[in-house]
Amino acid sequence: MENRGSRKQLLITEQPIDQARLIAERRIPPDCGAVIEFLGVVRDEEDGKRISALEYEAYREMAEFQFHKIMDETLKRFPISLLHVVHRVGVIQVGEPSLYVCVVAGHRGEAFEASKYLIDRLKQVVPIWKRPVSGLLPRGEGES
Amino acid sequence: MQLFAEFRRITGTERFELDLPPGATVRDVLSAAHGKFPALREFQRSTLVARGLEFAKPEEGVGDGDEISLMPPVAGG
Repeated sequence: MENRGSRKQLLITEQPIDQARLIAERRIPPDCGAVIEFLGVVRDEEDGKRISALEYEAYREMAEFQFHKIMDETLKRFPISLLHVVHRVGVIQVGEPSLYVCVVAGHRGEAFEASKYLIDRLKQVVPIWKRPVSGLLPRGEGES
Repeated sequence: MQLFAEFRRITGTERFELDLPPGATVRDVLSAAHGKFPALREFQRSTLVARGLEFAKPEEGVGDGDEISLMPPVAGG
């Protein structure tokens, strides 16, 4: 679900996060001097073991509800202009992004703070889970 | 009721129904679910419960037709 034309946009998708397209489509208001983009990327280690990918799953309806709730919290707490979140679900390979957060604000202070707040909150309340897919190797094995 | 993530894999179940007496609480629901799926008991302390689309506290009452979801700690991002 996206909410184009408003201060917040949210998308939960199984498609790869196309950062180039998100940047191309972004419109920065003339009174804004700061754009913060965060990408959460799948690392090659989970619980001390080497992995090749993570599989993300979501309680989709509740995840959207909770995301909108914390996005509203963020917009209320910080004087920011735009907040855009994309969370990918499904199997995501190491090195690929699972999360995109963009904050546009007048100044960098509130942009940094708002992005951190939103990410910290999503890790508390958004019903999304991840698990390593097959190909799990104990750390140290398989390294050249 | 719904189960999510690891709870689905442990029980082999995504949805099930429970019959509870009037005045039942979230705590009662959890207890009944553990009775039906004893394998979930070891996760009791970390289990999150949602009523509808909001997280619920153990002492909250549940009504007829409430959608209750049991899930492990969230791990998005």
